[in-house]
Amino acid sequence: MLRIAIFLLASGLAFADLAPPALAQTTREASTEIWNSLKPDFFAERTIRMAEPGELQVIAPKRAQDAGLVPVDIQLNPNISKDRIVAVTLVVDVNPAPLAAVFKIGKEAGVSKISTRLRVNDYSFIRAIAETAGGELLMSETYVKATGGCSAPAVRSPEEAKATMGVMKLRQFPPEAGTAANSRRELQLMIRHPNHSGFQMDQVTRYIIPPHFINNVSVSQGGEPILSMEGGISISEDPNFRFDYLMRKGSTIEAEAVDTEGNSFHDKWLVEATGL
Amino acid sequence: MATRASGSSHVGRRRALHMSLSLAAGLCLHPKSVIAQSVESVLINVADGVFAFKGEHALMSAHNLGAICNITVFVGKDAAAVVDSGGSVVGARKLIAAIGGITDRPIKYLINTHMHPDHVFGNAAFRDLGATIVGHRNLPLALAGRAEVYLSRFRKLLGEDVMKDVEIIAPTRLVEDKLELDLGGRILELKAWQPAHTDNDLTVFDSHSQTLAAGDLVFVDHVPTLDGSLLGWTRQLDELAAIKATTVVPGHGPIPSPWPGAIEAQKRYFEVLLRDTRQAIADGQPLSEAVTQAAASERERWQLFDEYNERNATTAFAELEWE
Repeated sequence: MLRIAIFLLASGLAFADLAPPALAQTTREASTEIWNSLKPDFFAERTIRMAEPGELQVIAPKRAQDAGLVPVDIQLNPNISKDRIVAVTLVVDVNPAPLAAVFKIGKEAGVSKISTRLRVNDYSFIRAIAETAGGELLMSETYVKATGGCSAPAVRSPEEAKATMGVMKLRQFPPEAGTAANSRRELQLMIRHPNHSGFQMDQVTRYIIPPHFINNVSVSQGGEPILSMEGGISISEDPNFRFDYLMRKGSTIEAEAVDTEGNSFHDKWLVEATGL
Repeated sequence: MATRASGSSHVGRRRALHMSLSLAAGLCLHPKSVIAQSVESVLINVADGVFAFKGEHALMSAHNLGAICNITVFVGKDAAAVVDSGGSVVGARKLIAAIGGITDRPIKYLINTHMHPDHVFGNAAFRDLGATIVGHRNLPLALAGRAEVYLSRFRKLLGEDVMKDVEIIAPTRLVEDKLELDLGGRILELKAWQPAHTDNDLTVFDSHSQTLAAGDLVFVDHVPTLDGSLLGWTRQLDELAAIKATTVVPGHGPIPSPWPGAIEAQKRYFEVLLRDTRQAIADGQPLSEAVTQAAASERERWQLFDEYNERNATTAFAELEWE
């Protein structure tokens, strides 16, 4: 017995000299190649130019801490040479459904940043493509290292998810200290929903859970649209959107969300006119 | 215990094992540091009939064969039980061979403390011995949902040689709440916990030696890692500390560590992480900013802090922002 122990130990140690193998996840080039093949589906043959950082920028961590919950910030200049941005499309090249979300921005809303959280399935570029009122397309991209975001099991139990599905929470942030008094404020809309991707396993049957996700969200102020989103499976469990807008004192914020099973969720809040 | 009932023959055998292993390692002409650590840490005698392997504080790599977590071996009159199988089958076979050097009792049980690869990737080696694999009621489903990603990610990280024979093997004997396993003169008390480190944490307590194999519910020196619920883990710390052990084998950390004193540093880390994350949320900081600063004051107190703290903060933030 002892002799076997020694033999196995020695043979095991033989691996200690191996250099760490090279990583083989999707390269930047492969991700770009996927994007080039996807582009015609989303934007036909239209020209997309790379944006200057001051016009549009998508920001994400270089290495995701949690592939199922990758924070993504889109910063945009609402007025590019007097031509307003009307929509932003968010794409994760390598995801099984690469189109993560299409945001539409209300005409008077003044939105200049949008943050959400995405599932990222493998090393990939995340792209934000903005469209101006004049029909120009501009793009910003950032490369993220992540693995397994689309199949990662839900954080909360199915019972818990079912009991709270559709519950919304709106956070209204006061302006940062030291900024000039104006009406620009930030909102964060949080929606309890499992947002099943169609790649997660059922906790009981062990079959894949069919996709079931929020596919439409709209937020308005006094009936005027601020931001709407058509979304897919790449939006993380408990969808979360943070964005700024031009607040109108005394108005009401309304949010409506619809999921792929036709469930509709609705809530409203009076604006908190802090800082004015 | 078992065939090594007398203390003196026990120790003698251990010394012989160490010497022989040193010799074997020397013949292999490998870097001294690696050999010294691997050999000295094969099996530490924690208490009479209780042994443990010390994992190194590192990420899983080809270099360390994924052997980064602590593994406990309990030996009874009739059988032995091993707590966690380590991060590779290659490593698990080494361990099994070393166990053969301390007892001829069969390894009847492999107990998995939770789903993480460094604790379950060696399962196949124990299945091949005919051991019954025991785990938390949630473990089979937790593994099923992650199997593919775990295997593909770690093939890339560790390479095919280290990942050879690794399979995701779920436990067949499940612990709903509590379960006792009789090894002959030594009864192990297994307890399934509510979501904490993961949603499938299990501890193993041996009242005979007053030793607790805590799995990753206890980290010492190595920063705790969070893949479950910070609130749940924090809430259950008192119940954990109340286990009547004098010694703990933490999932990661020195062997042995004193119980319940070993839990204090982790308790403080959770308090700081909770406080900082709640404050960031109250201040309106976005997740992406908050996670870079939460619990920063703990940096100097832990190993692998930069590797795991932001992940912990991300999980904590998503949980706490709904409070």
